[in-house]
This record gives sequence, C-alpha cells and structure tokens, in this order.
Amino acid sequence: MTNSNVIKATNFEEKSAFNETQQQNWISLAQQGDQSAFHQLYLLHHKRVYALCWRMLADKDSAEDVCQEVFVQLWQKIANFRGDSKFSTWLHSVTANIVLGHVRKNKNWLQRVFSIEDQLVEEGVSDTTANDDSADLSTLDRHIKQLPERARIVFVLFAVEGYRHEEIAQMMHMAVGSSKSQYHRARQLLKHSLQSELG
Amino acid sequence: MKNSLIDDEKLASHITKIPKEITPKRDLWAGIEHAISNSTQPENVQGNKNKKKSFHFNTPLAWAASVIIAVLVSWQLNQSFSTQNTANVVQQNSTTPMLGFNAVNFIQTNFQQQKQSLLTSYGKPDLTQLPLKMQQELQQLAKAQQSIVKALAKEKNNQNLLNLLQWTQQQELRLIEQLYRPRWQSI
Repeated sequence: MTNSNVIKATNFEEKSAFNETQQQNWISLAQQGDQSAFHQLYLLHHKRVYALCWRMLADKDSAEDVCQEVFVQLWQKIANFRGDSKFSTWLHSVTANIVLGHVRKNKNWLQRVFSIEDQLVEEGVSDTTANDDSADLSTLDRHIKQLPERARIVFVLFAVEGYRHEEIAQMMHMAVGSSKSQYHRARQLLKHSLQSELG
Repeated sequence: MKNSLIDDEKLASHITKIPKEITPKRDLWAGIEHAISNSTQPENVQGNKNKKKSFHFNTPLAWAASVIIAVLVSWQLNQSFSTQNTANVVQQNSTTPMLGFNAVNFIQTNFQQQKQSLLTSYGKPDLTQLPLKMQQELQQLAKAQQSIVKALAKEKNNQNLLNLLQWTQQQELRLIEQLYRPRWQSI
C-alpha cells in the first residue's frame, strides 16, 4: 500500500466546510465549562469518533458505549488540549486509547494469560454479523468487522487512521514487527474475503 | 499469494472509499449530557489549570525536600546510634554535656568489670609475677588509657578518642587472656 492510500485523520476537517476559528471558539468555551459549546463539538466530531470506535470494536453496542465514554472523558480532559496538534487528531488519539483500554478491560483471564483472543474471534467470525447493522455498512467495513481482533485494530489504525506502526506498537504494547505482521495478516484475510464476495 | 486473491490496488481502492463517518443508530448525546451534568470538569477551570501547574512545579521541590529531610534524619539517627553503640551508654535521661563524661565512666567501669572477671576466671593471678616484658606492655596500655581519658575530659564527645579508649582496653584484655589462658598439652 502506498502512502497516498492512507486516509489521514485530519482529512475530516479539510473536507468539512467548517470554520476552524469557530471550532477554536467552542473549544475555549468548553474548556471553561460551557456545555452548549461542547455539544457543538460533539455534533461536529461524533460520527467520526463513532466510526473509529465501531471499526476497532466491530460491535455496535460496544461502539456506542465507548463513543459516549470518549465524550465524557473529553469533557473532563479538554482543558489538557493546548492546540499543539489539530483538535481532531488529538481527539482521535484519545478515542483510540480509550477503545484499547476498553478492549483490555473486557478480556477475560484466559484470554489475558494465553493471548487467545484472535483464535476465538476467528472461530466466531460467522456469528458476528447476526445482530448488527451490517447492511448499512460499506463493503470493506463488513469485511473489517470479520477480522480477528488484533489484526482488525492494527489495520484500522494503520490503513484507515494513518498511524505509523511504531505508534500502533506503543499503543497496543506490542513489538513493531508484530504490528506489521498483524497488518499483513489483515490484508491477506481481507483479500480472501473480498474475493469470495466479489467473485 | 493465490491467483484468486484480489490485488493490492483493488484493496487500496476499497480503503480509499471507506466512509470517514458512521452515524450511530441511537442518540448518544443524551447519555453524555447526563454524565457531564452530574460530573465536575476538574481540568477545565483556569484556576484548576494554575493549580495543576503549581502542583507540577512544586512536585520536584517536594521530592527534593523529602529526600533531604530523609537523609538528614537518617544521618542524625546514625550518628546517635553510633555514639550509643560505641560508648554502650543507654542513659536516656542524661543531658547532652554530660554524655561524653558518662560514656567515659561507663566504658572504664565496664572495662574494669571485664578485667576483674577475666582475672578471677584465671585464679586471680599476681600480675607482678609476669615477665618484665609483659609487665611493660601492660603498663604501656594502661598509660595510653590514662592519656586518652585525660583527653576525653577536654573533649567529652570525641568519637575517635572513645573508640581509641575501647581499643586499648580490648588489647589489654586480649593480652591477659593470652598470658593466662589454659593450654591443652599433648601427652
């Protein structure tokens, strides 16, 4: 994959017809405790945040819960934002870390000890589409959803969000090589599944 | 790679077409609004920012102060214990100026008791019957002790002198022990 194919998180702002100054004003007001300004920030960013949550978690209900958690924590941490980076970039970084924390927290002891989450997910691939909104998803999203957990998260962070493998490795407490191999694995699995569907 | 797989370009094409946003099925704001209304925003007020900065600014100083205090207390305790151990003095009610004097008296008394006990265990031998060379050595040790005690009268808390006094006393006890210790003889 070339770099041009990597969708940067910041593209969201570039595509939207949003006034950066207005957003900065909302941020400042939210930092002072203005909930209506914070609501404006929510309206502006929640779909992108939800998309990231959904793709990393591959579960609608969990994604909704974590998306809410992201904005609750954002409310509490927004004073930490000093404008060193774009707000959306900072928010997506916060989101990714909250999702990863959620994933770790929801692993049972067996999965933690033996690191068998991938095998379990792979075995249960066919069941994951039963009670979800897969019909509304894009073709690729439906296939991303079926990836094993670690491969899926690495793929989403690298290919969709534009993180580097070094950053992903740090976030996921894994080696850089592991991140790369998970990404390669995800690509192979996606090619297989897309080929099966598209013929 | 199998021939049946789609190629990298097709996969890349799918990735570029992936929607940036997904709309949640239910309204999430209501829950968020409820949560943030019932919770404080600890880091959003300017005063809290300053407080936080102040905390960060003071944290190294606090650590440094703690370390310095700990070192000073440890050193003081160490000095205190060292003095007590050396002098074998456990007179907690004694005043500071008397500490050195009492320590010398205690050391001297303790030494005399040990010496008498040792001589008694050897049948209270007459030291004047020892060879002249041995008597001279004992006398030299006694003179040394007297000189040290005199010096301690001027510098009551001099740790080095106290150590030296104890060392000379130990040498005298060791010499007596070597002179009178019973030795097994092989037949």
